[in-house]
Amino acid sequence: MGSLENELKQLIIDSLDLEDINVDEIDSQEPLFNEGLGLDSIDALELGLVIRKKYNVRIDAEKDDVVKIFGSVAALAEFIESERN
Amino acid sequence: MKHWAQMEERGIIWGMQVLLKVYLLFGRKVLQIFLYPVVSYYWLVNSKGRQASLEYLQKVSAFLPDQRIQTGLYGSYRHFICFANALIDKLAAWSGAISLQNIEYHGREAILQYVDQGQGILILGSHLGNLEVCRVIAYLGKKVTVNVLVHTKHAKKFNTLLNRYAEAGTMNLIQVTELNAATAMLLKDRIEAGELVVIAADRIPVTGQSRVARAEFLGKTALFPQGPFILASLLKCPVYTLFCLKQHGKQVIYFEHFSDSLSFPRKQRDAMVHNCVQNFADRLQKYCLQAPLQWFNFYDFWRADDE
Repeated sequence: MGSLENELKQLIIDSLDLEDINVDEIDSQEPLFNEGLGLDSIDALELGLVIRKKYNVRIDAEKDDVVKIFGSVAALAEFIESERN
Repeated sequence: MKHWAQMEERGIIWGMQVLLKVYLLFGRKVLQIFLYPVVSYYWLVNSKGRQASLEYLQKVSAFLPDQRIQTGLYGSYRHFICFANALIDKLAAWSGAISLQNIEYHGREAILQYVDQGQGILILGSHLGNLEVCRVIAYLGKKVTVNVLVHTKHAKKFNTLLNRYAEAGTMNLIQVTELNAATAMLLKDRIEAGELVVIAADRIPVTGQSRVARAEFLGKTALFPQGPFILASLLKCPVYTLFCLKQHGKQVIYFEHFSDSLSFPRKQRDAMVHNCVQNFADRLQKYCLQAPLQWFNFYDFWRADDE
């Protein structure tokens, strides 16, 4: 689980151009959007597409709780793990 | 002032179907006999639409002093009649009655090349002229699926209507009220399948006033949506503009390159999106001045300044 979380952090940094942040600075439990990392709805869309491509998981906006899935790196990792199994 | 979405779609499906039947059975002249009184009545009772038309004509005529565009009530009435004729062309386009001989293309080669390569394209359209005619771009000579994003709740019914008269399901209307993860993924799939996605870039979102940008249009600041441009950056595909104007009795379709791929690095995002929007507004203005009476945004387009 820990490695997936780190991988996700790197993915977030790379895909969203967060040059001035490194992996250690992102807390897995910290909210990704608004207050926490300060990402916005456009970042969420971008991230959603990148994650779908890389992990081949579909986030169904009607079925899944998108807000919760994108709540934190930990929540995102948990979602990807559960979809893979 | 009502949002445009509340004013639209009064001509419900069955009405369109009746008109379409009349058109198919009796042709254009007879349909005009039906349609002109309807549009005249609409012009008389719809004071907001009339007001919007008057204001627009004032602005556009200032840009075209040589053309002596009629302003005032008579000009506005002519503007609505022009709209009625565009409706007929819309029906004609749907029913397939606009033949390829009646269409003149500019810049089609680039689009065809992408289609050949299986590369999807995002196409920015507008409510200037007749976007429905883009139905015929489904017959670019190749079989390509054209997905048109629409705000209408009637998308499904329109699809049925369209495909009843179309050869195959080459045109697909997709109802989008907001840009969310689901729509982004759906459209990404369409682009990756090498299809075309058409979105109007001149109307602000139905919900909320967020994600709009100010741009100069016909000498005054107006609000434009950011959504289409943000969508382009997510889809990472070539972006073209599409304008279809009726000129010298023909439908003239203009494809123009907008960007190979839009990308908005977060630090400069707002400024870059704003540039894009202004770029689109400039292009819209350019074509608007070529066909001033084919502007069919009958609501207060410049209401940004009223705040």
